[in-house]
Amino acid sequence: MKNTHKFVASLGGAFLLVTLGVLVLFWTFGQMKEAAEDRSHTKIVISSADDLLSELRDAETGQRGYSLTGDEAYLEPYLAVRDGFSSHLKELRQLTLISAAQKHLDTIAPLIDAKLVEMARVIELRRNQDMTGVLSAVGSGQGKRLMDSIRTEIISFVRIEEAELAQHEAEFQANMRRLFTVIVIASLLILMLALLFGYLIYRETQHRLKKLALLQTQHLLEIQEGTNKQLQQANVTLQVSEEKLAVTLNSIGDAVMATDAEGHVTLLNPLAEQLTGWTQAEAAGRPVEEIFRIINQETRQPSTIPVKETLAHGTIQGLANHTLLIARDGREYAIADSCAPIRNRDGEVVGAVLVFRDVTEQMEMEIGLEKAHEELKELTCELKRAARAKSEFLANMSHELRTPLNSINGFSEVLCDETFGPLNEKQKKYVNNVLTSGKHLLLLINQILDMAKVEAGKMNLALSSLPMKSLLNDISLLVADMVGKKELQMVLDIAEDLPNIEADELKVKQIIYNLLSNAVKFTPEGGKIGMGAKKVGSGIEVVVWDTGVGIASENMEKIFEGFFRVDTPYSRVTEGTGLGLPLSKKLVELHGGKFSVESEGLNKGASVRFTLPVVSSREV
Amino acid sequence: MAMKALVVDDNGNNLLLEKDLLEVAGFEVFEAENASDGIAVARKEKPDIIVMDVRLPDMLGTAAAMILRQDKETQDIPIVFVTASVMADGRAVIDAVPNSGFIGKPINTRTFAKEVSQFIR
Repeated sequence: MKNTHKFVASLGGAFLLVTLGVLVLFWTFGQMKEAAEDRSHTKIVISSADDLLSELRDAETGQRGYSLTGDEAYLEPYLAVRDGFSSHLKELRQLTLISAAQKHLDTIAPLIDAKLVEMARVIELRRNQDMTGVLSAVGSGQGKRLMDSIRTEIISFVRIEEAELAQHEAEFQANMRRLFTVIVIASLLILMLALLFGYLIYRETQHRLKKLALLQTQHLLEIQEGTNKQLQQANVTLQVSEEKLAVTLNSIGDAVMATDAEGHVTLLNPLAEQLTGWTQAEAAGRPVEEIFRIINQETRQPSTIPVKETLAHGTIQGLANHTLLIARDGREYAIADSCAPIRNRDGEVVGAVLVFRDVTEQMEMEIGLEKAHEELKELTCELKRAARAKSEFLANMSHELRTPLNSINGFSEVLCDETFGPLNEKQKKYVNNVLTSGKHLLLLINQILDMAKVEAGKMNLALSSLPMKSLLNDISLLVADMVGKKELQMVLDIAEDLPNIEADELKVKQIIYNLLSNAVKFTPEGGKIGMGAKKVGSGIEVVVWDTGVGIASENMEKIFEGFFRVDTPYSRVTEGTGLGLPLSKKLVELHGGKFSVESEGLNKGASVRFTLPVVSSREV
Repeated sequence: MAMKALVVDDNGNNLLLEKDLLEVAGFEVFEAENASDGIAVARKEKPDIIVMDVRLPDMLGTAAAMILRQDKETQDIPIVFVTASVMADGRAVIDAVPNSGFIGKPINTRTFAKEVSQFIR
C-alpha cells in the first residue's frame, strides 16, 4: 500500500514537472514565434523601404530615359511610383512601429513629393519638346539633391530597422538557446522520469512478482501441506495396516515364510524364525532351500520344497506326510505345511508363501491317541471278555450247583416218598429237613441267577396275553395252605373289569407269589393279608398288604439291597432269601412298571404296590 | 415187554436217581456215563427213549443227539435232555434237535417218569 502511495505521489510529481516543462516550452516557443514574427516584420519593413528606394530609382531612370528618347514606355516606372507611392508610404508607415523610424518617414514624405513634382516638371518639359528646359532642369541638380536626401533618409530608416532586426535576431537566438535548454532539461527530466518509472515499475513488478511468487509459493506450500497431510495419513494408514499385518503374522499360530519370484526369502514371522533358527535379517535374500531344509522322516532323503512347484505352476502345494524340518542348529521338527502362490494385481506369480507348523507334539499326541485307542480297544475286549466270563461263570455256577442239588433233592424226595420201603418217623423227619434245605438252596440259586441276569441285561421277557383276574386268584390259592396254617385272614379285592395284560407269565407269577408269601411270612397268626387289583390308566395296579411287622423307616432303603431281612419273632431266618423283594422290583421295572413299598413303621403292617402296563415295552 | 430207556449222565448220583425212578415206573434202563458210550448203547439196544444230560465229558449231549439223528437206526428215537443248564441260549440248541424234549434239573422225582413217558410216541 505504502508503495502504491509513493508511486502515485511520484507519478503526480512527475506529471507536474512535465506539465511545467511543457508550459515553459510553449511559452519559449511563443516567445520565439513572436521574435521570429518581429524579425520577419522588420525584414518586410526593410525590404519595403528598399523597394521604395529602388522604385524611386527606377522612376528616376525611366524619367531620364523619356527625357532622352521621348518614348512614353520609359515612363511606366514613374507612373507606378506616382500612383502607388502614397499608399506604399502609408503602408510602410503602418508597418513601422518604431517612432524614430517614423520620424524619418515623416521627413521622407515631402521629399518624395518634391521629387515627384520635379520629375513631373521635367516630363512636362520634354512633352512640350522643351529640350532646353529639360536640360536646365536637369542641370540645376535639384533632382539629384532631392534624390540624395531621400536616399539618406531611407538609409537611416533602414539602419534603425536593421538595428531592430539585430535586436530581434538576438532575442530569437536567446529564445532558441532557452528553448534548447528547456528541451534538454525537459528531455533529461523525462528521461529521468522514464528511468524512475522504469525503476518503479520494475520495483513494483518485482514486488508483485515476489508477492505473486509468495502467494504461489504459499499456495504450493498449502498444497504441499495438504499432500503432506494426506501422505502422513496414508503413512499412518499404511503403518497401521503394516502393524496389523505384522501383529497378525506375529500372532499367527503357524510359521510363515514368504519368497520372491526367484525363490529368495523375503519374510519370516517369529514362529518361522524359531523353527528354522534363522532370523528375518539373516534369511532375507537367501535361497529358500537354504533356510527351509526338509527331509523325509523315513528315508532321510531331502524332500522337494513345494515353493519351486508353486512358483513354476502357480499351484497350491501341500507337503508330503512325515516331513522333518532341519533347523539351523541341526534340531529336527516334524512339520506339516502348505505353499501358495502370491499374485500381483495382474495375477502374475510374484512369490510364494509357505505356511508350516511343528507337528511333533501333534504326532506324539496322535501316537498317544492311537495307543490309547488300542488300549481302549483292548479294554473293551477285556470288558466283553469279562462280561462273557461273568455270564459263563453264572451259567457254570448254576449248572454246577444244580447238579448236586438234583441228587440231594431227588434222593430225599424218593426217601420221603418211601419208594423203596418205609422209614421210621425220625428218619422221615430228617430226610424232610434235608429236602427243605435243598429246596431253599435251590430257590436261592435261582433268585441269585435271576438278579444277575437282570443286572447283566440278559433277562428276556417271554410276553404273552395274561388273564390277570384268574392268574391272581390262582396264585392266591398257592398260599392258601400257609394262610390257613397261620390262621390268617386273606382279603381279595380284584376289580371285575381288570383287563388282560401282555407280560411274561412266569415272571408275573413269581412277583405275585413272592409278595404274597412275604405277607404271610411277616404277619403274625390271626392277622390279615390282602391283595387288590384294578385298572389304572393304561395299566393295572396290584397292591399286596398285610397287618404284619411292617418296616422301620430307617430300613426302607435297605429292603431293596438284597439279603436284607426284617428280624421278626414270627418267622425263621431260614424262611426267606432276602432276595424276593429286590428281584420283584427289578422284574416289575423290566416290564415297564413301577414298584413301591409303604409302611407306617414297625409292627404297623406294610403294603407293596406295583403297576404293570397293559402292553409291556419289552419284547422277547 | 417193558419199554427200554437209555440214561446218559456223567454224574453217577443223578444217573442212579434217574435210573431208579424210571425202573420204578417200569422201564428197562440202560446206562452210559459219556456221549460215545451212549451212542454205542443206543445203536446196540435201540431204546424207546433216551434221557440225556447236555454237559458230557467227551461232547455235548446235543452233538451226540445230532449223530444219532444221522443214523437211520437211531434217528427216530425220542431224546429228552435233562440238564442243570437253564440259561436261555442253551435252549435254542436243544430245540434244534428234532423229536426231543427238555426237563430241567433238579428233577421232580414224583413226575419225572411220567414226563419222560410223554415223549414216547
